Amino acid sequence: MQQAKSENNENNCQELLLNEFGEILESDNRLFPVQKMDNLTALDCFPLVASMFSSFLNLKIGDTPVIVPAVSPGCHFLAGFYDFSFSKIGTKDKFQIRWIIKDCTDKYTSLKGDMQIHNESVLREENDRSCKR
Amino acid sequence: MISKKVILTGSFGVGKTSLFNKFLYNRFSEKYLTTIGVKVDKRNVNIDGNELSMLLWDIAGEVSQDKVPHSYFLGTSGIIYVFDLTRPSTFMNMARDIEYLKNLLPGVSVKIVGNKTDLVTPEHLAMMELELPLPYDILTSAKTGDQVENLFYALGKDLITNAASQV
Repeated sequence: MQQAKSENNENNCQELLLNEFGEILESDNRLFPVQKMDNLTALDCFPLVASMFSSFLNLKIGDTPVIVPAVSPGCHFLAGFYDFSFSKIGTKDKFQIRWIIKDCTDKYTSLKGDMQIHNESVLREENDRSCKR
Repeated sequence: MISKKVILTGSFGVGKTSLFNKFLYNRFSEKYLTTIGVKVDKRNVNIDGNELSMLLWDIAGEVSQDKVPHSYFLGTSGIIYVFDLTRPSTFMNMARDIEYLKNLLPGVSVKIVGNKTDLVTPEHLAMMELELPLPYDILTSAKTGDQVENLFYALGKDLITNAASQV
């Protein structure tokens, strides 16, 4: 965890270590205190993690992390947009899933505004074309 | 209980988020709001006595499926490919998209869904069917809720059948 912290020393990141059941072993609590998860596992609190966890268990130690960008977690304690990164660390017999949550709320909120304008404009054009037909 | 990951995908503005919200929360909004990235939630359903936890991914619409981040598809068992019955641009790339998804996820269950039946007449539907590159599986209206439950239950049934055949 200490080594990982030095790699991710930005304040907009949180790192968690999970066991093979998705239980939280460690967290640096920089974005949210894990106590807010009421002793539930990451699988119980985050359906996204539950839906991919078996794939994470199948990773090999040292595999490139799985990056899941622009996640809207939908938890009351984690509003906004985040990039998630998952990797397997340790040894073959004693491993952990390393989960890094990076707060990208500003970036994706700005992108969302741009996309809203763009998509509405395309929808209007398509509607105008179909009315002329 | 069996858990299965299901992705709602397709072009933007076709009603993926509306179907997601209708099925999960029985909610509908007329206002179009762009989806960025992904939102995931789950609903447990009982299908013919089998408990299934459907882990639903509502992802940002893309005009082409190869623009969706690969990681979003990891561990996917089912795909709901949504198009808008009133917008030909949303089904023009359907054949290529479905082929891409089936190659990426061999063995995955796919449902092709025409949404917004509340906005079309039977005559329009008949004409539109002639233009479709592939046949659809079901037609829905997220607004009225028509066929929304049936869509997810039909997919759930496929997922349970697939899971049983893999045992």
